[in-house]
Order: sequence, then C-alpha cells, then structure tokens
Amino acid sequence: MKKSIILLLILMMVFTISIFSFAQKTVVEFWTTDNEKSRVDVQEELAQKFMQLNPEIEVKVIPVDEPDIPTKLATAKAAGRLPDVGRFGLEYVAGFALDELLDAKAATTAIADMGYTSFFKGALDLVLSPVDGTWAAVPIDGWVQGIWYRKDLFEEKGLDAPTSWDKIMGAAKAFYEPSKAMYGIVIGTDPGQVYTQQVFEPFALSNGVTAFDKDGNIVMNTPQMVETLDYYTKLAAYGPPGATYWREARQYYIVGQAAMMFYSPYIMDDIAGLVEDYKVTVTDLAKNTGFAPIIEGPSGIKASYGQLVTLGIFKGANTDAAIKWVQYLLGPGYVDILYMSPGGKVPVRKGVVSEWLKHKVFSLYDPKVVADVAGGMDLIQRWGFMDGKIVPLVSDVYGRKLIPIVVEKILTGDISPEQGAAWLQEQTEALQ
Amino acid sequence: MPKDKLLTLKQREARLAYWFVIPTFIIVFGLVIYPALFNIWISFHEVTLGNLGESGAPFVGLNNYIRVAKDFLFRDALRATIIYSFSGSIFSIALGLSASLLLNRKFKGRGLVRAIFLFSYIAPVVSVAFIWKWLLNPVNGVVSWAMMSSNIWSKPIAMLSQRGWAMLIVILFQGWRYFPFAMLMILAQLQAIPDELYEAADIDGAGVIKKFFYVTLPELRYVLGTLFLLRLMWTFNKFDDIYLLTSGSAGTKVLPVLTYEFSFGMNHFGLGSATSMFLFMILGVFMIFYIKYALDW
Amino acid sequence: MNKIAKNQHIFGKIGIIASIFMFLLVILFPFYWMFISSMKGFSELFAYPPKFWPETFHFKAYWRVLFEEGFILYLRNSFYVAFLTSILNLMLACFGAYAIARLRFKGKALLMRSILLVYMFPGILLIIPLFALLANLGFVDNLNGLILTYLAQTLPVSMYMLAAYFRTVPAEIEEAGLVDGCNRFEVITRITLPLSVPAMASVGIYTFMIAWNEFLYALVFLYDSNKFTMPLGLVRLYSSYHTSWDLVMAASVIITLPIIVLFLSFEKYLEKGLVAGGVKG
Repeated sequence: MKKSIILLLILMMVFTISIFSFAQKTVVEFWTTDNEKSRVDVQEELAQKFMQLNPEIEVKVIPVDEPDIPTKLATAKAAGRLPDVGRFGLEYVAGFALDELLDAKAATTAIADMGYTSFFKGALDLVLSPVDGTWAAVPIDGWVQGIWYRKDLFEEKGLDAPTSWDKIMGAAKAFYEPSKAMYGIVIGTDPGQVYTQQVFEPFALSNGVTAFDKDGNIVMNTPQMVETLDYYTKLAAYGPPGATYWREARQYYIVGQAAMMFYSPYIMDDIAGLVEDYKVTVTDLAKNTGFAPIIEGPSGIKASYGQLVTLGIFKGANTDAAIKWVQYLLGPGYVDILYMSPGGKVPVRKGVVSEWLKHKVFSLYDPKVVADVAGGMDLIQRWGFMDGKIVPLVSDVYGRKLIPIVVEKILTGDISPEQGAAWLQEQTEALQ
Repeated sequence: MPKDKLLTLKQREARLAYWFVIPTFIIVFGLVIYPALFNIWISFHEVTLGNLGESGAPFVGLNNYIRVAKDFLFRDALRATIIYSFSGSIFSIALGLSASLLLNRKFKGRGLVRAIFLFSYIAPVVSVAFIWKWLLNPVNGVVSWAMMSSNIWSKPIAMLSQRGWAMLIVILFQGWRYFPFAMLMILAQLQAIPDELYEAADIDGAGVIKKFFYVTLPELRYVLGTLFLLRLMWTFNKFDDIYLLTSGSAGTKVLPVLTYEFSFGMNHFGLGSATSMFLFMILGVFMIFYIKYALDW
Repeated sequence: MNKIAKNQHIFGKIGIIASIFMFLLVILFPFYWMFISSMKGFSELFAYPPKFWPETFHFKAYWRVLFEEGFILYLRNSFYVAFLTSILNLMLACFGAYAIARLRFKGKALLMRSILLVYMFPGILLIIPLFALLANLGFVDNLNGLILTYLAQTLPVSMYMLAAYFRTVPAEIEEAGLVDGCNRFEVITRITLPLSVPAMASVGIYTFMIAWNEFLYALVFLYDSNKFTMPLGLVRLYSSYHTSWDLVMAASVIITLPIIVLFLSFEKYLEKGLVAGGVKG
C-alpha cells in the first residue's frame, strides 16, 4: 500500500513536470497530403529549419491520404483535436468552411500579411469563403490539366494542335490503329475514378455546361450536356480497350502507343524520363510533346480544368503559430515545396515563378509548353465555382462519382446521352 | 461452522470467476454489442461528418432506409451480393469437398500437401488480391497471355473491369481462397465415417461413385449444411476481397462495399448504417428459414 | 481383382494424383509468381510473353520497399499490433475460459450460449458505430485502439476453444493442487496452463495471424501513415502515383512470408483454430 502511494506520487510529479515542459512549446499540427515518403522528408526538413527560426514552436508533419481528409477531420473534431494547418484540394474548402471548420480570419490575415497582390488573382478568387466573403484558405499550388500530344506525329500528318472539339476528334480518329497497338487518345472511362470526371469537365465547360448556375441551382439536364456526353463517349472509341484512367494515360503515352492523353503537369517528370520506374521508349519524348490546356467548344467557349491546393487554418488552432508556419511555407520554404514536383506544382505567388522555372525538368521541354503550364493558374474553371460563389454540393457530385458512372452507362449502351443527362439531374438533386 | 465455510467458498469462487470474465465481457460488450445497438440508432438519424461527435443528430425515422432502397446502386448491390454469396459459397464448398476426398486416403507427403492446400486461406487477403490483379492484367498478365496465345481471346479482356467477367473472377477468388475452410471441416467428418459402412457397400457391389452418393454424402449432410450456412453468412458480409480486387466496379459493388462508400466515401453515416442493417436483416431472414429447414437435416 | 477392375484402379489412382497436382498448381502458382515478380527487373516485369523465370535477379525492390517506401515502419507496426493482440488475447481468454470451464457463477449459462452470438455482427456492421464511438474516445488513428477492436473479435472464440480444452484436463489434478494448499489462481498458473500449452499455442498463433492479416478495421481507423499496418501500407503502395508492380510484389512477399513460415512451423496447432474459429472466414 505504501509502495503504491509513493509510486503514484512520483508519477504525478513526472506528469506535471512534463506538462510544464510541453507547455513551453506551441505545437502546430500540420496535415499534409503530399504524403509520399520523399515529400514528407522535404517537409520535415522545412519544419526543422522553421523550428530553428522559431524555437518556441514545434511543427508536427503528419502525412495523410487525400481521400481520407474529410473522415480524418471528422474524427479529429469529434475527439476535440483538430489539426492546426491542413493541406487539401479546392473541392474541400467550401465544404469545410460551411461546416465551420476553417478559420477564414486567420487565412485572410496570412494572405494580407504576405500581400494579396503577390498572389495570382485567379487563385485567390477560387478560395473565397462562402460564409464571410473573405478568403477561406490560403492557396499554395495548383496545376492546369491539358492534352499532352505528340507534336512530332501531328506535324507528320499535318494536323493542327488539338485545341477544339473538332480537332481533337479528328486527330483521335487519324491516329487510331489498334492493329498496330496505336490509339488516338486516352481519356477517362473508368467509372470508379475521379479522373473520368476531371477529363469530362473541361469538355462540358467548353460547351457552356456548368452543372450549377450562379444561384446554386442544378442545371445538369441541358441539351449542351447531352451534346457533351455524346461527344465524349464517341471520343472514347478511339482509345484503348477497357476502363481507362490516369495510369493508362501515362502508360500508353510513354511507350508511344497513344497520340494524345489528358494529364496534369505531374506527368512532366515521367515524360522526360526522369522517373526510374517508367521507361520511356520513345526517343526525345519530352521535346516532341506539346501541351494543349485549353479546349474550345462548338460555340466558341474556351475552357480549361485544373486544381488548386490550399492550406487551411482550422478553428481552435494555435492561430499565430499556424499563420507563421503557413507564411514560411509560402515564403522561404516555397521553392523547396514546389520542387517536390515542379511540374505538378504551379506557384500561386508571382514572385517565385522565375525561380521555379529553373528546375531541370522544364529545360527538357519546348518553351511554349512551359509557358502554358506556368500561366495555367489564371485559366482554371471548375463546376461549382463561378463569379466568386461556391456551390458545396459539387464535392458530393465528385464523391458519388456521378459523371464516371454515367459515362460508363452510356459506353456500355445501357442508356443514351439524353437519358444520361436526365439521370445526372435526378441524382444530383437526390444528393441535396 | 462447515456450512458457512462452504458457502463462502462458493461465493469466493463466483467472485473470482467474475474477475476472470469481466475484462473480456467489457471489451466484447463495449466493442461489439453496444456498437451493434448503436448502429441501429445511427440508421434512424442523420449522422454526417459535421455531427459525428455530438448526440444531437436529427431523428429522421425511416428516411435513411428509404433513400438507400431508392438509391440507383441498391438494386444492383443486392443482386450482386446474392449472386456472389451463393455462388461463392457453393463453389468453395464444392472445391473443399473435392480436396477433402483427395486427401482422405493416406499417401506419402500427405501432410505437406495438406499444409500447402491451406496457403490461400492463411495468406493475407491484401497480398493475394494484388497478385491476382497482376495475373489478370490485360496487357502484361499471365492469364491474358495464356488466353491470347491459345487463341481463346482475340484481344485482351480487362476482366476485372468488365461486367460479367468481374463477377466471375470474384467468385473464383472466393472459391480459391476459402475452400480450405470447407476442406478442413469436411475432412474431419470424413475421417469419422466408420469403415463398416463402406465395407457394407462393397459387399453390396457398389462402385466408387455409388459409394460416394450413398455412403459419403449422407454422412456429410450435416457438415455440408452447416458449412453452407457459415460460408454464406461470411461471404454476405465480406468487404475486403471485393474492395481490393475491383473496388466494386463492373457490377461487383456488393452491399458491404456500398456501406463503406456511403459512410467513408460520401460521409453519410446514416445511409451507411441503414445499408448495413439491410444486409443484416436480409441475411437474418434467410438464416431463420435455413435453420428451421436445416434442423430437419 | 480382375483386369478391368485393376485398370480402373490404376486409372483412378492417376486421376487422383493428377487432381492433386492441379490443386497444387492453382494454389501455388500465384505465390510463385508473386515471388519471382518481386525479383524481376523492370523490362522483365513487363515482358510479353511473360517470363517464367527471371534471367537476372534484382533485389532492389525489397530495398526500396523497406527503406524508401517506409515498409520498415509498417512491418514494425504490424508486429506490434499482432504480437500485443495475441498476448493480451491469451491472457484474458485463458482466465475467462477457465471460469467457464471450471468455476460456477451466476449467468454462466447465458454467457456460454451468447458468447458465439457475437459473430452474428460482422465487421461491416460494426465499423460505423465503432468509428463514431472510438472517435469520441479519441481512440481513432491509434494502434492501441485497433488492438482493442481486434481483441473484441478474437476473445469469444479463443475462450470457447480454451474452455473446451481445459475441460479435458482431469479435474483430479487440479483438486490435488487445491488440497495441497494452492489457491485457485496458483492452480491455474501452475497446473492447468502448463498442461494446456497446445491449445494456448493454437490460440496465440491463430490470433497473431488474424491481427497480422486484418484489413478493414485498419483501413477505417488509421490515418496517419506512420501508424499504418502492412496491409494498409501495401494498398497505399499500389495506389500511389509512382509505383511499380515489382514493389507491390515485394511488399506482398514481405507480408506473406512470415505468415507462411509461422503456419508451416506450427501447422498442427493452427488447424484446430482454423476450424473452430474461422473468424476471418
């Protein structure tokens, strides 16, 4: 009995002392979706450097899979342990802001301190908060998607760059020779992959299909949507067999079996042959690759699709420390962040662009391609983001994979494009 | 005096027993019974990410159930679940029966062979699922090569992403992976069949096939009946295998996968609970009928 | 035996041997392919027609999986979870089973009958409420929380098996111990358990295997990739951007090999558990 009392007292002492010592440091818990090991290493190095400059702050880098973010946040919230800073894609921002998880004031302070004119306007517009009219999160990087195509083969056949519906379809048809294992284009047809929606959306946008209107009404069942579904599924016929998504897009292109495919600039490393595992069998593929980020629809509307990744500061965080960390990542640490995947991370701050362009991968490409990649930020359009207003339901549309599912249904002949559009309308309404 | 001591001993024994049993009871109650009941509660409320931690989730009555039943994926999921469970169970039992018949006689190396037969069952589901995916790869997989070079296929088929094929594959996988369980149970029973029965059949002039149908099978009725129930129950609720092989695409989205998608893909936990309750009820009804009927075995 | 019967006999024998070989082939081939794929270089991996025996053996995949993709960490986590689950399960189940087998207490009959009822509730039914429950307790994304959920799955059948075995230990031996002045606790630890080593080994190894292989709960409850167990690590490896099949295969071998080795070494202990339990069946 006596022994256990003494033990208990000692434990209490140790406990209180440790509380004290931890109370000295403010902890910033940082959830990052850049969770590949090599990237985590870079971020931890940055954390180390930051901590040296700010000894009273401790930064914990926690790698998380992007699709897990909403659930992980929910459990953290339930346990009362939200992180301080999180890195996640644009589609989550509106939802989180609505759920009152994000501290828009902190984000706005961070941006204002850095000077909002130092950011590309297009990027800032995408993170406007639906609640306050301030910025809900801090943009950090992004990319614009486009068609990567074999410039050399196009020249041989005397074809124009694939920048419009007609040109894309025409080129796809011209290159389609399955007996020689050559396919015109690889687009998204896998019903279980977000990629399918990502490739479909710019076609839709270029035909005036915005899925939601300014007031948040669902406008899926339109003649333009039917037209787009029809065009898209016809285009899929010139691609490889089976359900395709980004894996096939990459694979077929680097072995020279596809003339066109959709991708973000993430692919620049692979095409340039910089990635060990993916043997590029086409000589000088990078130099012979063109990039077409803008699609022109039948009525002349131009659209392009992309992604913006943001840093969100959560409510209840150690706000000042969190703001400092965010500013560090977008300041002294920014180039290191971007270099983790320079093609896939287009800067959102104007001043960094020239430094970013110095990375080796860009030298291997045609300068016009590089310019298109760099300038992509201002071109991005997305369903559910219009005129500074955000429709949170769009993330449910993504989550339920309505577009990939309807594309597959049309491809298997189960339904017609008209029925597909009606189905989309019905299902989106059911999501409310 | 002695009477008191005896009572105390009994009480002491009981108290000791409680201490022994309480921790297990707490864990099992807290992590199985209570959640099972909680699940029912969740299925009647609108529980999403936003209110996961709070008890203030709004009561919605049967709304979740209605939404699930009307969902465009529900009918397919139900059909897929039933086809998958029944076919998979029957197939794994058939394979298990064959395997146990093969192993019933002694032969050199039987122990090793029997051990190897269990490999597919004990290996982690993740690794076998991925090796199957690799083997079935339409461009580089061994299966594709075999089919193409023997001219069975004229062009490669991506089996795991095509309707019909995908269901076939997951059923085959089910049989491949779980037949050892059936095999073990049947083998145990086989070895308990008295030799006299076979000898009697011999005397009556029965050949191998007759012996199987008139001696072996009847003796195995109970085991087979139980096996079917067990395998059906487990396959009905199976998530890992299909999720890893096809993620539920190409018509293989069974109810467990749908439950997962509602809950952790769309973060509508109420819908997910309702789906799992459907699963539970459908299986429950079947089992009640089956046991009632099977009790006549 | 006349000639026809003899021929039938030989035919039958050949048929049986052929069938056994077919089974062995179908079972072993995927494992064989897993193994050699993990050691193929890039060009051989994607060679068409597929190479059935690599010309050169590369072990780089293992190195990369373990040290560049973090599998050393996942391996450690898996060991931690499986080992602790096994030990804790044994501790709790032994005593609980003893109470069922030997001691009298109120509610025992009810407990015995309902213990296996627990398996009516499959993982997929429980993940949602468990998730909500553990989230509120702060046990999500926590390996110890995971261990608790595994224990809930393995305890009932472990107790059932151990109780059955304890009953086969002659009561007289235990009585003798009691008479000699041991209290009940000492009887258990000094008499009953040493005599029950086969059953305990069975339960211990079987539980280890279940915890090692488990996927669904790990998928739902773990988010920090530093806490991943190997099944999760493997899935992440497969779906990550720059992955290759040789890495996935190497990782698969790393997960599978320990279990196969464990199984072959303790096979006779395991089989009892596999039939009685079949929890993951």
